[in-house]
Parts: sequence; C-alpha cells; structure tokens
Amino acid sequence: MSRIYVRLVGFLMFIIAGHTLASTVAYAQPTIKLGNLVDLTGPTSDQGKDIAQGRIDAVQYINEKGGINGKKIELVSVEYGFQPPRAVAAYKKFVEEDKVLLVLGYGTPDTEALRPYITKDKVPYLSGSYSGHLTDPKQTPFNFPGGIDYSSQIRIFLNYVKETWTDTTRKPKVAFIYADNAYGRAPIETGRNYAKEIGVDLVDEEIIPTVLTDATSQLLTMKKHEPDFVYVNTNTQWVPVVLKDSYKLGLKTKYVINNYGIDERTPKLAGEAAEGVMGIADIAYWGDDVPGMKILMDFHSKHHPNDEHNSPYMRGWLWTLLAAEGIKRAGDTPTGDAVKKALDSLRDFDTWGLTPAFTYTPDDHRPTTKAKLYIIQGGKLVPIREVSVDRDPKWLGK
Amino acid sequence: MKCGGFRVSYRSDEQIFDTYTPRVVLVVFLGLLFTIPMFASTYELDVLNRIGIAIIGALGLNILIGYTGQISIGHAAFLAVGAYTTAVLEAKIGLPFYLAIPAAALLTAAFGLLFGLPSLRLKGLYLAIATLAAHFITSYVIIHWERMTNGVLGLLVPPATVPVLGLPLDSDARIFYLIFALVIPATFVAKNLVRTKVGRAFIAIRDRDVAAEVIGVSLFKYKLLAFLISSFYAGVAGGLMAYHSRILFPDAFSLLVAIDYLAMVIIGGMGSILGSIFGAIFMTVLPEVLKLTATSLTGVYPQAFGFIASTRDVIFGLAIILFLMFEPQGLARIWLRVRSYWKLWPYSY
Repeated sequence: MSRIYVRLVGFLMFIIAGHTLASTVAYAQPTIKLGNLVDLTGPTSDQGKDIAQGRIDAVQYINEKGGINGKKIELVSVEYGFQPPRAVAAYKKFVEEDKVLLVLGYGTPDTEALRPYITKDKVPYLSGSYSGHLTDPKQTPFNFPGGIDYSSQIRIFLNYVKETWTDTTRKPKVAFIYADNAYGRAPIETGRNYAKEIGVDLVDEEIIPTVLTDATSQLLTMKKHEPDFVYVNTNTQWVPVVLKDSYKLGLKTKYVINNYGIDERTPKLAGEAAEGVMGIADIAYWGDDVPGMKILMDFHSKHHPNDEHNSPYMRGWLWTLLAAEGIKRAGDTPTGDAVKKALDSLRDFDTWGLTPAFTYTPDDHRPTTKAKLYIIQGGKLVPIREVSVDRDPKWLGK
Repeated sequence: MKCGGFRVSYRSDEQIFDTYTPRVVLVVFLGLLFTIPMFASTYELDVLNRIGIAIIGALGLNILIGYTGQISIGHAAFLAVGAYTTAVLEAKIGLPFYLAIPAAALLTAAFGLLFGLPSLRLKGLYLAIATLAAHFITSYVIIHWERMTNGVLGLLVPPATVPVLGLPLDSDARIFYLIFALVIPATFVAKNLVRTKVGRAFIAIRDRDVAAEVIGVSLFKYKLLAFLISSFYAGVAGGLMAYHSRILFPDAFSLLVAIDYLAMVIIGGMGSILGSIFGAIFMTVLPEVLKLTATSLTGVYPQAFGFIASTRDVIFGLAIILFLMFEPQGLARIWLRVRSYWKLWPYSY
C-alpha cells in the first residue's frame, strides 16, 4: 500500500489544489453566475450533450463580446443523469452555495419537482422542459419554458389530424405513445381533452419505458385499435425503436413525433422505417437558413470543427441567449425578481431566427405557439409548413 | 499507573469504551454536531442530512449482510416502502411525523419479513436474486398505484411539524435535528444489539448456519428477525428521506440505490457499526467531491465539461475497486490501523 498510495494521493491533491487556485484566479473579477443542469449519462443524454455544448459555447461567445453589462458570465455546471433527486440536490447547491442569478434547467421530472422551491427562492428558471404545467405564471411565476409547450404541440398534432382528414364516413382515430415519466405524460391530459373537444377519437394510449429497448408488445396492442395517426412523446434516441418495431410489424399508421423525439439524426437512426414520419420542430435544424445560424456555424468551425451538432445544440444557444437578454434588461445589479420582470417584458423577441419570435407576459409563459412541421422523405427532413395554435388561456398551465 | 486492559468485572468487560477519554470525546463531538446548523450552509447541511439518512439505512443493511450474512439487494425497495408510507400518512391522512415514521417503519419491517422468507431456503447469490424480486415488485407498485403514490409524477410531502411549537421542519437546518436525533439511537441500538444474544446468534448464522442450528440457534427465528430489524431501519431512513427531500419519485429508489447501500456496507466494513457510518459518509461525500471538482474544473476548462462530467462515474467506480483491492476490510479497518498507530506514537515498532 504505502508508497504508491502516498504518491497517488499527493499527485491528486496537487492537481486539485492547482485547479482550485486557477479557478480562484480566473474568477477574481465579479461575474454573473448561472446554474447549468444537464444530463450527459442518463436516458436523455442524446439531448444533453449538445445542449451542454450549446450553452457553454453561447457563454463563451457572450463573454468574448464583453459579457452582459460589462460582467462576464460564469456557468456552474452539474450533470445529474436525469435523476430528479440529484437535480434537487444540485438546485440547492446552485441557490445556496453558488448563489446563481438564474438556472438553466433541464428535464420535466426535475423542473416540475422543483416548482415549489423555485417559486419560494425567486430564482428565474429557464428550463429545457416545455411542460405545459410550467406555463401559468399564477402557479409558477419564475418558470420559463424555453420553447413551445408540449400541450400546444399535442394540440397542433390534433388540429393537423382534423384538418387533413377527408373521410366523411367516420372520425379520425388517434393514439398516443409516451414515455413513462413526467415528460412523456405532461401533455397527455390536454391531448385527451382537446381530442374530445374537436371531435377526434382517441382510441389507444401506450406507455413505454423511459429507456426503451423494445416496443413490440405495446405496438401489437395498439395495432388492434387501428389508429390513423399516432403521436409519439419520447426522446430522439428511443423513437427509432418505436419506428423500427412498427415497420417490422407492418403498421400502416402515420406517426407524428414531438420536438424532442425527432431531429437530424432520426432518418439515419431509423432508416427506411422513418420514411413518411412527421415531426414538430420547435427550433431550426443545423445548417438551416436563418440569421443566427452563421454565428453558430462560425463558432463551431473556429472552436471545435470536428464534431457534429443537432437541434439540441441550437437549444443550448437559444436558452443562454434568452437568459442573457433577461439579465441585460434587468440592469446593472440584477436580482432574481428583476430578471423575471425583464423576461416577462419580452415581446416578439427575435431569437436570431432560430425559433418563432418569443413573448413572455406576466400572465402567460408560453413563449410561442408556433412551430414547423417536417416530414422525412428520402432520408431527409423536409419542411411541410408552419403550424400554430391560438393562445387560448383555457390550456394555460395544463 | 495502569498499562493494558484490566477487566476485573463483567461490567468493565462489557463496556464499549474502556477509558473516559473516548466517552468525553463522544459527548463533545455530539455536542458540536448539534451546533453545525448554526453556521453551515444549506448545501453542506443537505449533504450532512443525506449522510445521516444513509447511516441509518446502512446500519440496517449491515445488520443483515455484515452480521447475519444474508445478502439483500432489495434495500432500495425497503427504503421506498418506508418513504412512501410516511409520505402518504403525512400527506393524505395528516399523521404527524412522530407517528408516521414509526408506523412506516413497522410496515416496512413487516414487508421485509415477507421478503425475508426466501432466506429460509436460499443462500448467497440465490437469496440476492430473490430479494431482487422485492425491488421490482415494489417499484412496479409505486409507479402504477398512482392514486396513492402519484406515480412517476412524484409525490409532494408537507414538512414535518414539531408538536406544541407548531414549528415546520421545512429547511435543511431544521430537519437536521430530526435526522440526527434518530441517527444516535439507531447507532446506539445497533451497537448494543450485536453484543446481545440476538447479535451473537446473527454472527453464528453468518459464520456457519448448520453449526448454529446444531448448537441451538433457531435459523427460522433469527434470519427473519435480521430481515425485520434491517427493514425497520430502512423504514426509518425512508421516512426521513420523505421529510428531507419533500418530494418522492420512483427514480429515487432505483436499483442503483440498493447497490450504493451495498457499497456503503462493503467499503465501510462488513460486520462493523463504525464501518456503516464511515461507508455512509464515504458514499455520500465522494460523488459530491467529484461533482465539485468537475464543476470547478469546468470553470477553468468550460469546453471539457462533457468529458469531465462523464468521467465522474468512471472515477467513482475506480475508487471503489481500488478500495476493495487495497483494503477489503473497509474503512473501519483503516480507522483501526490509524488509531493503533497513533496510540503507540512516537514509539511504534
């Protein structure tokens, strides 16, 4: 034991001491601290990797441009493996230990769990979760979902079904497939109610595990109900399992995938099973012709030209830019309250064209109700058209 | 001056501490422990609270694994039963914590007894697999009995309230007192339990069950008793988890948690009360240290965050492997060695 042990321990302590020193020196000047919660090892790591990269890059970009109101941003990053208890621990650390001004949050289970804390601590919380339950400022004044909420998306889907249905002899039949966690379940209640309201038959719901290896049994049950359209609410890395199993079983139904379930990788991952599958996009895809894309691509080719990016990377940028805008508008000595008010004052805010313009108001935290509908044809994502629903207060917070 | 151990009566032989010094040190230590909430930050208290809860859970598991030799990987399930029972009793029935936690612990003990039954026929790995069933059944029930547990959406727990004063234990500083007020008796009971007839029966079963049966130790009684006590501890720990995190998810009781507890017992030292405490501290603090290191490193190298955060799990695993290789008898053994070194210092030969 002894000698090699001592050396090893000594070496490690040397490294840790060195870095601690370096970090103290590097942040001697006042900075604005932001909490950065991501999943790099859990069931949503397909999103987390690019989201983390996007946020880190956006912070570097903002800092290179001189920071916000002369202050640099510092990201306090924590990886939590999509486990809500670890997110709660990380949140406590952000707020109590690091005294962050704002948290760039992540998934639905953790963000929904943190709601009471967030409201109590008055920490603006910009989440990757677009759960409809976070959109009503009366209940969650400090939660800001970073994109079109899941409930609006499921309404978009149901509207699309209704509009494209031509058979007058019967109503269209739909089914929902969703992951067995708070994210998967978030829009389902709204989906049920809205389907009833507009006259679409919801014939089946299938729950799939968060980490999906096989969906055959669920799809066989679903097949019996013969849905015309199916809405899938899970993650990009698990959607191909559904699509491939469905292809194998010869199902003829049309699939529409929500924003986190489809991106540039889907055609490659699902192969021919992905043909004809539709998806809702909350944000621009990599390389799309929008004003901000050039900045992102330039940054990418300057700093890490050898990796690939997908839509989560753009989301990482988007949320960081939104946070920065809120802090900028909050003035020289921003507080949680001031940043919240500043974010609430965003009206048709241009997100570099990455998304439809964002509007948060003190009564409505749905940033937008517009999205883009894509279809996979010939192994490529082809845009169909813009889709949207009205900002009906009835669905707020649902 | 006396030199060496002079045990002239049964009373002195049965003492936990031979001399006054460790007793005084213990009392001072406990006194200081209860002043911590006055100056520690919430984050530090959060870690301490999790350590306290882990100590109770690990003590229970050590009684089962370390003392009785019955392997169980269903400990997360027992924690879950304790946590959800407490939460439901508090949130839906409005039972105060001083009734909810004991009730939950009793229910968990009964539950543990049920899943201890296979131990009468199964040993070693076979028993491990049988207890795994407890885990899967429990997590299935928690996820799907939504009316009671709220399923994957998580169950909110109101804070424990001190009677008479009406003081809600809603912060880490306040719940700290509840947790450590239970850690101390839990440790005390465990330490003494293993020195009684029951404890000796446990050890006899661990060392050779056939021989134990031959000399008159009832395997039926004591194996089940071990499961009962172990899951009672888990029930208390689970109840405290409910009041500490104030929101319960099925994810909080995954199989990994059971493995974590196993690691606590093994790293701390099997068949050692002190070892359970060390193991609980180690397994709670190490991930935090790694997280803090990762966070401060990414402060310097932001672009390396992905790499650093992902290697955290590798380092964690590596630390455990190294531990098992260099000190298979756990932290308790290291502590003993350090202590005996300083006892003879500077004249150690």
